[in-house]
Amino acid sequence: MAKNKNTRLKTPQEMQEPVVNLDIDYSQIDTEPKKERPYGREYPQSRSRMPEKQLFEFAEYRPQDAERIGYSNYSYWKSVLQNFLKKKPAVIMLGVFILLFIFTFVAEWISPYSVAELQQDNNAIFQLPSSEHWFGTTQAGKDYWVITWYATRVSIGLAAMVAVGQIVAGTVIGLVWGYVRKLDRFFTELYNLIDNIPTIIYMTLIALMVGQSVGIMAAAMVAFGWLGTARNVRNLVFMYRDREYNLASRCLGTGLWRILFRNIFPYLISVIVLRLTLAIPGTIAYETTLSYLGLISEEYSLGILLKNSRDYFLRFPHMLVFPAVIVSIITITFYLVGNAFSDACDPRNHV
Amino acid sequence: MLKYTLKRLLQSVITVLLIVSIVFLLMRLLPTDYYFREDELMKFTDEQKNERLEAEGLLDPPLVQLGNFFRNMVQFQVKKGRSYSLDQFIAAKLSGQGIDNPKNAKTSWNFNLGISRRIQYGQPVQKVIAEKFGISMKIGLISLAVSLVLGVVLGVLQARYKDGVFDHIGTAYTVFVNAVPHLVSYSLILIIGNQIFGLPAVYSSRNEAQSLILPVICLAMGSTAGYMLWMRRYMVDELNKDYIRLAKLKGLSTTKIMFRHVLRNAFVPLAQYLPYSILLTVGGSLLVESFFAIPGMGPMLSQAIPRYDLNLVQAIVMLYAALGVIGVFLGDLLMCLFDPRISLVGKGEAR
Amino acid sequence: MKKMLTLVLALCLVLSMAIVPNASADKITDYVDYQTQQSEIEYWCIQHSQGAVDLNVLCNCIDGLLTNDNHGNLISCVAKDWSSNEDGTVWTFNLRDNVKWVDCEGDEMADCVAEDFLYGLEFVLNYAKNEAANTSMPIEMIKGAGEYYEYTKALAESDDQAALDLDLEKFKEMVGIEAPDDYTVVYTLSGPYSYFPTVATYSCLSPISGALLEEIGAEGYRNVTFDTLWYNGPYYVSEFVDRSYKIFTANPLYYNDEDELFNTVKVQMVESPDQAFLLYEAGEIDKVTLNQANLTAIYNNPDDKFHDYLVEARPTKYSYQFHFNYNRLNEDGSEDTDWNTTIANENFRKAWYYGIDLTEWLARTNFINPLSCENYAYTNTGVSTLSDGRDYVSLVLDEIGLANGTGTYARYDAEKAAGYIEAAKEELTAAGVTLPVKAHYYIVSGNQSTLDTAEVLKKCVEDQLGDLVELVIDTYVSSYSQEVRNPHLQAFQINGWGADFGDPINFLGQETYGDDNAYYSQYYSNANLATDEKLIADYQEFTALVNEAKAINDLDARYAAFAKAEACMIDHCLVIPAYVNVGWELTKVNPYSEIYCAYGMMTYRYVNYDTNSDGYTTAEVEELKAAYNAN
Repeated sequence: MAKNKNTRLKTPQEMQEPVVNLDIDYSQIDTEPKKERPYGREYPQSRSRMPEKQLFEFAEYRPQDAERIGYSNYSYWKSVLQNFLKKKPAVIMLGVFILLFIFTFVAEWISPYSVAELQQDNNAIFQLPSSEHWFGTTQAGKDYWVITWYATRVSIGLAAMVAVGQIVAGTVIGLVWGYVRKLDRFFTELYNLIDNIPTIIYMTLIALMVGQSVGIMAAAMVAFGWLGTARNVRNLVFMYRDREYNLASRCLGTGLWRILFRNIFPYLISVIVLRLTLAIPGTIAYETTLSYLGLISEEYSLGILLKNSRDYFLRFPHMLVFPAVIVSIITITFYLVGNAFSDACDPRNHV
Repeated sequence: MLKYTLKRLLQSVITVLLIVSIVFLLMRLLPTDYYFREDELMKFTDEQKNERLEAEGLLDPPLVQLGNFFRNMVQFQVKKGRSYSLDQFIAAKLSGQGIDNPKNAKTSWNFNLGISRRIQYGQPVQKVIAEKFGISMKIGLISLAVSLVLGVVLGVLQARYKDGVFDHIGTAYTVFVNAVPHLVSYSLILIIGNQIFGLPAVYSSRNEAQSLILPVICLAMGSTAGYMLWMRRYMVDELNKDYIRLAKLKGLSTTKIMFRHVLRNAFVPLAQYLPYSILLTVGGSLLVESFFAIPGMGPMLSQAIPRYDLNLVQAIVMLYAALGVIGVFLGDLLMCLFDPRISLVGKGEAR
Repeated sequence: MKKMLTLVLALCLVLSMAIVPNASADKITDYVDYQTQQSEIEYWCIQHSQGAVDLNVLCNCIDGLLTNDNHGNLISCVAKDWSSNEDGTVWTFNLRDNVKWVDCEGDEMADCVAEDFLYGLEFVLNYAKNEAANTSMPIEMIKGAGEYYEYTKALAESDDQAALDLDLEKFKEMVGIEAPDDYTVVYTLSGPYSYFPTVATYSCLSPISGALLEEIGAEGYRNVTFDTLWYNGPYYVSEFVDRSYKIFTANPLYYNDEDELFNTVKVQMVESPDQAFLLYEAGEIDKVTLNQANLTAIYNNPDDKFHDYLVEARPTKYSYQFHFNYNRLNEDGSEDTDWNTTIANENFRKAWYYGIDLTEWLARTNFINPLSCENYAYTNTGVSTLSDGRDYVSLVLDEIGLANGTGTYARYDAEKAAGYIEAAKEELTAAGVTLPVKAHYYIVSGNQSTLDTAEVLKKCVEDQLGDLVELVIDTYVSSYSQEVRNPHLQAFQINGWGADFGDPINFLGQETYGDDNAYYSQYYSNANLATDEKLIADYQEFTALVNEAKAINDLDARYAAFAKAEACMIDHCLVIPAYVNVGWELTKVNPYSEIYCAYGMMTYRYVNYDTNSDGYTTAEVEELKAAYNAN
């Protein structure tokens, strides 16, 4: 259920509300210098949002003023940023996360131990956190501090790789799927086939036959993870592809990719950003499940630490607490950042 | 409508069969060593292994095996006599001989998906599944009901008191539930429930009600958060609509607005997924069912695949696929019922 | 109202506190054991099964001719006594006349008679019925068994149904087994097999009720489940919930009144060892094997409530060895001459033998008493016993001049090792080998504990033989035999062998030269592909000694001869013994009252257990152990 719910981020009604008022009388605005306005071209609504009073008053014609009103220094990404910065909790968490990520590199450097040189030590197993071992030691007597931070780095890297891969593949496929009518049937069938086979089958088969390294698993997660995004994108493309402005654009001979990426893609940004940010914690959670099933093999990753710690945490809670807290921080960060950023990306929120 | 339904069902059957074929062939890629257990692998010579596999028909080319699988899928049983596969039956009928008692004997037919080889040796896979899905469904439905009621009510309250304390607490809960990996949160529930509240940590049919408390809590915890989240979101979206504003202006009480108008409309997108989620409770939950030793469907796939219990894998996949397809279809129907503006046939489709 | 409630609660508390200490040290009548969910029973048909997960259940349900006691001795089961003719080719078993078959509700269904054993063996040998499972021992030992198997196989290939419908007629004609009357079974063997009675404990000679077979048919019996099966053993299974739990109930018609049974035995399936511990703590199960975390915590904390209750388990039935690969290939299929030359060098192997102190590695299995896991012989303790009560393994240890339980790692000898290392270095350099040579050791990927253990081994080996060898830890994904063993990729492998019957040949027979059926020398060591003449000569010397011993019928002389052969193998370091598995547990069962046998399938038979509902303390078990050893 959860998987599918993501695809319905916005209700269809909401999406159908025109973001852009296409009925603007262009003769009233300057027509010439459109090209020079970075990003502004697609969002000429700035004019239609003038205060009401002004709209109904006869203004004296002054060429300079006309030019000034017609031109807006609106910048899409700048507005996004401004909107985003208004959400304090998200900004704070993002800061925490960035520090955390940087710290994964610093942690090993400030510690007397290093992951590559960790030695088994039967006399030092399961030590609680101390000044010697800041996060305690593992079942093999290895320093847990460096392991935890190393694992964090591995997991973040893996999650970022998978998330980006899934979103890029999903978006491109979704755009084509939604736009090219002939391919709709093909992709729908493909989607039904892949989606209805439990992922655990693919994952087990790949793990058993190809390998269980993090790289292979990441590739597998991308290969089967684009579906949700693609369907989501496809549904949105359906809504926009036959709008008048696209019909016009097509009549004027605009190429396929240009229509897709210039005319349609901008509407999808907020959804894509949200999916991207949620895919990162999603991947970490999935990795935990895969390690539980024994399908992933890497010496250290957060999923593996969590799985291993299950055998020990009753007696040695430190084995569980540290990785669990880090996973929670990452998840909360991306959850908040994702929502805030996606709201900020929505041009309707830009005033 | 009827025509549409039939067409869609026919398509679904084809999809399901295709899925089963793909899984069938995929599973044949596994090394046959999985068929044996560790102590058998240790003691068998290659020749002994081959004899066992040959006796099971696992050494035939995969396509031949697939052919046999479909041929034997429907079996005709002459009362008290032997059973026939579909093609044998037709051939015998046509030639007018061959069936033990062709004229008067009562023939019955049944689905035959083969027998389980490792999970429950020698049992028809339907029987294995039949024994298992009840309990999964029971837990699933209870927790679905609990989480739906809780989630919708809490979500409505959150929307009603948007940006209030309650809203923030609710959001914190959803974030927290999503942030902590299930592997960890389930372990914690198990230990807290067992050690502090003295609830049974493992399933027992003699004390079923009590032993299902913890599993239901585990399952409901996550999905409650999900329903809350989406309910709140849809409600808030709906609250900004003009008709609500009008209702407010006309002086309708807030409660009436919330429950009579907003809830109804906001529930439509959730309703679409309801049949799907109800049907898929059959699938059970991997983690919960292994943790509490519940004899359900959850861990079956992950156990059957590495044991080379191919018939069982196929049957489970077939079941899930069929339920998934039906679930989506019922969801569409339900959505039509809730919202008469939506229509599945005719002009509703995007052109 | 509130006061009332408090009062009642307080009263309850006092009462419960008063009751608990009174319930002290009783015997347990309803025992609860556990297994992990991975080890759920798969086949209820005992003839079809060779796996421990099934036999651990079925040894309580279907009684064969003989069984074992807590010292590993053969004792009577359905057969009350047994004897052979002079040369050990004909064995006669006299059966009890009060053995009944009951169903899953404990109701009497039929008598268990001699013919049931014929049905059992016919079922095993019939290719169509049993699909080639469990055939190797009967085919090797029983006269005509192989022919009958081939006959049914040929028949099955032309007409499966005909083979399935076969009754005892053809079988009696071809195979050396007969039932002169209802309570006598006579086996005629293809040669003198003095250890045949130990085979009679195993599943391949188990009986099937003829009446049941008639009722549900051969295929129905192979696919039997707990609720259609008939039981003649101490328990019947009254409830079975797959991957959750199963309940054994004492058989009211059990034939042997002297055996002490529980009223019920419940086997709870658990998700992880940690959960098992949780259940033990809550009093829901009566025995738990400790994982590393719990053991460490309890051992290091004198205040822990289980601190005084730690009990060292008895060794499992597997004896682990270093099996060297004498024909290692590289991943591209070319021969790894460096390794092959090195391992063929006896001085190198001796350096490995004398030069590595494995104590630290053994501590991975048992960190409290690492030396409990020491293993210097190839055959496992408890497989064969001499007429004077000594174990066969003590003969071997005498031959090679080592002893168990000396308190140090007995094999390690730095002085000798230094000599062998020097010699090996010299010879190997002369042979053009670049030292240190790489030794590839394969472990399964994704298992933290295995990896930890392998790293300790690497450290042990390289600390002492670092000049000669560098241990490389490689991983395989899932199938050791397909990914590593078949392409000959491993330099050595550590593998444990557990016997099905009680004779050293079951162990030593796996290592002989020039024999396709010798499991280890053929599949692991690839000895038959070795080219070094000295190595081949050593193998042949050992094989000749084994064959010599095999022909001896007098048990003591036979074991002495086997001990010589085994000593020869260890002396030439063809295979080097590694360890036995001894863990720690918390238990309410006296481990020395449980059936203990290094072969066969009787380990989990829940009869004659001494129990103590408070759990046994470390000290108590030490006493029990001393008393046991004195016996």
